[in-house]
Amino acid sequence: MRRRITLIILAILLLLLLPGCWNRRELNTMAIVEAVGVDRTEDGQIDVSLQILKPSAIKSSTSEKASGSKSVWVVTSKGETVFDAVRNASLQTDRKAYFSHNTVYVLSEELARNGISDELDLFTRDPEFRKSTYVFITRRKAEDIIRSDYEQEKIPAQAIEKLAKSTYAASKVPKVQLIDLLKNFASRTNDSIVPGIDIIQGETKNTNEESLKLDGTAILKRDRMVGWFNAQETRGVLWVLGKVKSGIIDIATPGDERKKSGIEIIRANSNVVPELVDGNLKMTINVHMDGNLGEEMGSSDLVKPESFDELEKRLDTVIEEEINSAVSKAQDWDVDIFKFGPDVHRKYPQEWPELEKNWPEEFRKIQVNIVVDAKLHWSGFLKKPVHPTT
Amino acid sequence: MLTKIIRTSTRKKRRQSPEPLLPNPSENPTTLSKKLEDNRQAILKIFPKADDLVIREFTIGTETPVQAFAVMIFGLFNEDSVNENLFKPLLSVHNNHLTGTTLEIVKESILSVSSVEEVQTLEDAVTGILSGDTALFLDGTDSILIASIRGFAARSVEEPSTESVIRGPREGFVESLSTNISLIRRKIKNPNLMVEKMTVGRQTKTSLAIVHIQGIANDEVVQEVKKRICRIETDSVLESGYIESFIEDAPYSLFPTVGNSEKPDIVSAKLLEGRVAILTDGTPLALTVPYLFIEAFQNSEDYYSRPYLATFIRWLRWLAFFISTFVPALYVAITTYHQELLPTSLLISIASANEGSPFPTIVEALLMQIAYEILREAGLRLPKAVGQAVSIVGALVIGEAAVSAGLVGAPMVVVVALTGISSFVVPAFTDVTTIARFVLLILSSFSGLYGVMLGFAGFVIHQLSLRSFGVPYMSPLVPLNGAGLNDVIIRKPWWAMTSRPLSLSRNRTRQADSLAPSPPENPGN
Repeated sequence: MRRRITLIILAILLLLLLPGCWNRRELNTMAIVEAVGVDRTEDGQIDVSLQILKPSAIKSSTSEKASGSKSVWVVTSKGETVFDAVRNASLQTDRKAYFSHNTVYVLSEELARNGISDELDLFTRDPEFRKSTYVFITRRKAEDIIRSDYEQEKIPAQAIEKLAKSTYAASKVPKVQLIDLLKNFASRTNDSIVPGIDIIQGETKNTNEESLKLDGTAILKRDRMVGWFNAQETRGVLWVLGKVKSGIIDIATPGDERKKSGIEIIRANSNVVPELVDGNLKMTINVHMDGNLGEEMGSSDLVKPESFDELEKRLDTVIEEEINSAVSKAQDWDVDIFKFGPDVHRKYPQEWPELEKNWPEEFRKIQVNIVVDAKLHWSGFLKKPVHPTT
Repeated sequence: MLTKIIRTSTRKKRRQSPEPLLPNPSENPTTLSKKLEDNRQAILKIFPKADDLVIREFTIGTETPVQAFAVMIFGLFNEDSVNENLFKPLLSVHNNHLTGTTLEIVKESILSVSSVEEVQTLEDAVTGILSGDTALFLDGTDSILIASIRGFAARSVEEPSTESVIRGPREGFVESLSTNISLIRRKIKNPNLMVEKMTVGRQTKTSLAIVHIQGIANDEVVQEVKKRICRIETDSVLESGYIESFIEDAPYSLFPTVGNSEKPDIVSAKLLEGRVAILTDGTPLALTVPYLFIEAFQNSEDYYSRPYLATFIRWLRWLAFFISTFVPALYVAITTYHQELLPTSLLISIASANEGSPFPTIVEALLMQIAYEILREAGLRLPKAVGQAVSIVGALVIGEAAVSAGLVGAPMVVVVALTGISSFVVPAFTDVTTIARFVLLILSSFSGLYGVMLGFAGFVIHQLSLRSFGVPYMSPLVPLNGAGLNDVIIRKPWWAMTSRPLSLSRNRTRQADSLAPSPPENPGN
């Protein structure tokens, strides 16, 4: 009896003590990484920049950021692999880097043009990195973005994350997470889009004042960047993907053609219907948009059915142009960023294996037919434009 | 297993101690002598040193005068009433024409006392005397008359400080058993209310009453209560807690399986649900069995106020119970093992608050918890006048100074404060949560959330294994009983609670169906 009791007590003690507080770490022994930038140096090494949180700085300046010390600290380290570079950072930081709260990856264009999948391997393989992290490509060095400052937020990485989250408001830049890229890599035909990020220098008296800006969209053929889309082309892509949530479309005001009116997108959706005729693929892109008259510059009276019809007609044209510009450029570059592949696969499963083999060629040949149906609903609080009556 | 360990050790101790229990004075009854003087000597022998004993000798003026004496203990009898109703009629007897033995005459025709009993042994008389009765010894008889004219200093019925209510009766039990029984009788005016008295404690001879309602309470439970109380052989019972520890189902468990209350309305409600109450003389706390886990979350005021708020408050209690048990452990587990579970901005706040803290989080947590428990205990025991000082010192030391001195992080203070306040929301489980909190804290510091889950699973498995007087402790949650949940998850309006809890009573119908009030059919005629 006594032996059994001893054994049981021993078992409980061992159960508690043998794991030995495995993986226990105090918060003040961790370097919480908020953003990671990856560059490639000229000699082929990996250059990793980590934006590390400084908890003490946040505490000391609860209200004012201008009180001096920055609340993040950027460490850049080199290595043969990304992992090596990350670990080499610990030669400079007294605390071990912790990546679970990392929100942003920034890759340089230079690196992206040579393919990004090698550099993303660690971020996918290691459980500490999240797949929901936002990915950006910059024309500059990634380190510059990681080192840049931001006015509104104490932590620049959070600013970048929020920039990504608020892309819906303009729908001129996509929002892309690591998982989106991985999904595209896993499919055989999809190509990817990644938002671009840049630093703009302020032109006020404080000449050193700089700010971050989402700018353009990098187009990736498989994992290799091939070029940039501008805002109009990007929205063209987003229309097809059904990712336009909101935004403003400028059209010439009917009856006052020199001036523009702004239409607010309330909701939009799209569907893509492939058609295989005599071995030739034809895609019909149906886009439906609901909008409001958000702003009118000019003096013509738009709040009547005829004007609304005219506005809708013009909207159709503008949207069609946006999509067209995106499609033609994508076909030039052989990049299926619209994910036409899966649509065709779903409709023509028998023919798909044959088509898939030579998809870039097939994609280039696709005839695209765009059908836009824009609907305007409200005109706001105004019946007539705010214009001095004569 | 722990149970077995302790059981074996106690068994051994019992074997090692051959000292006999103190003899129970009433074990060998002494019969009475017919001679008055012998009885007098016997009484003096029983009470060799009792200066508060009163022996009043007198003569009853019947046709043949009878010598007599009365025995009582000063301070236990009602002096005015004894003078007026016992001595006055006895001493004013003059040559009456009553027939019969002296005893009969005195008992039936002279004493104007409601309760007069005839006993044959000296021991019974002594028990009566010690309880405040007046024993009347008459020459020439071998019986004693016990007149119950008790009267001693007692607290009056007042509002208990532990279970105060906003809506509901204010009265609470007092230390006198008979008063307490009367308080219940006043609520349940029904001959089915059974009151059975017993005496426990070799030295203290504490009387207690087992109360139940015939037809509602399960007879097996009543029998079981009696059986368990009968086997108590102890020196003293000074409070109902003594009884509780002798009749508990799971004496080693952290969880109480016997309930207690200080309020007659609560005890009456429990009786009406089919429970059995045990009232102990000398304490205002009545015990109720069977006691279920969910009872801790029910409050008398739930039933007096309207159901919406009562339901909300009930959920709040579950939440508070959870907070007071788990939050410190979760805090330690998450901030030292699973930082990825926190939203980034929350992590940043916590990280910046803990930046300068010199201790590991678990040490911080233990320090603050222990400091809190010390303050709480001090606050309870200190005289009210000093209490103010404690709260100032406590608030300053625990709250402000510890943080600004950089000893602990501010989030830990929030956690400890929240835990402390929450533990008072479910007062019946304050002791459970306090111990469980420390156990979980240690587990979480060793193995993070796995430890917390291990502890949680351990507690739940243990709770599910418990029974209170044959009723599963977690019922009606496990085994699940849908109708029982009417009074657990929500508190239905009274007209909707048509049945009594299944686990407690076989006579389930409480009231008629369809009692929901509605406007009259032809309004405004």
